Amino acid sequence: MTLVEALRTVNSRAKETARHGFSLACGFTPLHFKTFFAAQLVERTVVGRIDVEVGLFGDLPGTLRRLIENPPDGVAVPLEWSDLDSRLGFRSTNGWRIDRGADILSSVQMRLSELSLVLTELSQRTTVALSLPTLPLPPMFKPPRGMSDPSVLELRRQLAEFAAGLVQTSKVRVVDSQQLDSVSPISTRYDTASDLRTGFPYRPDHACLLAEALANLLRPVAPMKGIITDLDNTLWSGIIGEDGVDEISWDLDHKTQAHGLYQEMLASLSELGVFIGVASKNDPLVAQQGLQRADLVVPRESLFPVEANWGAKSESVRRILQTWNIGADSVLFLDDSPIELAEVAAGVPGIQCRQFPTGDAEGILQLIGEMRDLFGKTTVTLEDQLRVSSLRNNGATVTSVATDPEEFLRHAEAEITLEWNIPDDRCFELINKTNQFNLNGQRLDEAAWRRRLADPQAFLLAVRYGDKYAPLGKVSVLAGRWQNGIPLIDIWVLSCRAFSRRIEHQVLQACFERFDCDQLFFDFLPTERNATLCELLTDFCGAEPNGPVILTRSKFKSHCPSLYAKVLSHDSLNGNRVAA
Amino acid sequence: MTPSTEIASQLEDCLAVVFPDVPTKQLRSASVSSVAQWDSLATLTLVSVIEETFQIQIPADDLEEFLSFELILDYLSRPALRAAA
Repeated sequence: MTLVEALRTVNSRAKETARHGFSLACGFTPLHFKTFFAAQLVERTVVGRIDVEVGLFGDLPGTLRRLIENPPDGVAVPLEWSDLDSRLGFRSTNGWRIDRGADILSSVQMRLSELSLVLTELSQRTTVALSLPTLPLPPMFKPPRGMSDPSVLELRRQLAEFAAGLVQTSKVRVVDSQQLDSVSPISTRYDTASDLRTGFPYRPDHACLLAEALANLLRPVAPMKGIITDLDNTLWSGIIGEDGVDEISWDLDHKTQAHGLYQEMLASLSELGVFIGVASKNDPLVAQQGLQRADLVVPRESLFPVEANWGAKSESVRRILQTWNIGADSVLFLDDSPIELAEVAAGVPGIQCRQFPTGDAEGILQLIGEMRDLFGKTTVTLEDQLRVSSLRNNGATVTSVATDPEEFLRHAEAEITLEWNIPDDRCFELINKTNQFNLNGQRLDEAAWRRRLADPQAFLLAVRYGDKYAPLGKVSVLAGRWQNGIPLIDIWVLSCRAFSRRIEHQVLQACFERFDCDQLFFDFLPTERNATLCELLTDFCGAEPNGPVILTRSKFKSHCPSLYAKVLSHDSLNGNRVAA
Repeated sequence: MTPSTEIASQLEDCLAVVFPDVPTKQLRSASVSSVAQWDSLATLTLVSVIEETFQIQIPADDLEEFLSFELILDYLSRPALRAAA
């Protein structure tokens, strides 16, 4: 992005009334960095203008302390060496003496401790993104350039300890320096003339890339949900139907280690809760033989479902999507054949396709790096770990339901746990990833989530579910606020894995009991994908709703089917208690 | 379009992006005294935008000439600068 493009991007939203306030806390003159940062945030925000406030130049700790009192939607902190000690910058001529080294190390240690405390506190109030120094140190130390100086190594050790401590003990998000190095070479970052004249130290390209890295941490893109992989010359090297099961490989001995690395990434993503499916043109029995090999790096049980047949791959992909019950736009399809990729892209609109670069080790490394970017998550929840096993169990469940749904529910030994006003990361994730059973499609950013949790009139219900087949974890979230004695519900989502268990009916019953009211107000809005919830409201109201819905207790009672689950209730205020 | 009118047109685009609140018709008469937002930081932004647009490097000592559309146009139209671009 050029500076002109950044300015145009920012200007395009300048007249909008909705506002998102961010702060840039830096020790240098922000100049174009502010523009690039605002533009990157605009690109990650659907509506509204981005206002970026800056603090006093040269007073980074003071700026951060002031933000604690009045936190914005997010704070970016591009730290540089001169913020730790002005003698480590180029705008100071008061310290490049050999005998000052120990004093500089001591003052840096103190400054890092001070920053650690204030950043930790600030991260409790808002989202904080931090980058470690990106500019070169001045040539002020003893050895000739090219030889490490003990003082420099000690500086870097202090900095690494500071960053590791922050990430482990606070919610501060730290930019990956290695990732930044790969796109912004260190020799092209510093603008000496600009720094000495104006105090702005970055060349435009580096300013843009660093702003992008920080904006990515403040407004991360929602991770994708599933990968569908081909087998031959993709999951493994070789064609199993022709070469035989013993001849396919993914190891150093056969010079096919790149496929092993690909499997390693699939295994890692599976542990994050990413669905991994297989679509292969193969004899199903032959494909199974390959997948049963004991030395497969990706666990066999994490590959589900496996579609091995001679039909069109787009058909296999559609069946996999149906099993997963997720949209094509959150799925990546990988195949070594350009023809198959084209066929799937044409037959499954919205799916992302990538060619597996067979035989190109560097290409494969680049691919698995991209996969990490598309699917990586900051936290792994219990639900992530349960996802694939519960999906497998769903297969058995669906069969039972097809036989007799009422009998299935009666004997499922279901247990529902209602968690009132106990927010966590999973609630936030569910709200922002659920489409089919979603009251109005509303998404929340972290700032809006925090404001909602701080509202004394707001309420939040999270629902856990488990039965004799499998625990599903937290599957539903309902939220709203009291207004004039009426509970107004503006968020209600239910994971598609938990459909057909009457959890939604249990939730409604719990709301009528908890709120002790005769009416529930739902801020419903039809979307392209929330037909499932629309059908539920239609069942109760007798007509398809186009907007907000009031559900009365009498209508609910008259239309509610039999409910069999044992219900437990937990409350943040009242402690644990059994409700029914 | 002659070179000078092309420079003027490109310069007008530069001012428009740095001062989005200034009406298009007033861009060619814009100056430090007529545009409230035209402070020292805005001048630095404008210079960077001009450098990017015209693919030139403007020496820091020349910044004092960047006080109005007219003066900047005169600066950009100098043969030596155009030859360097």
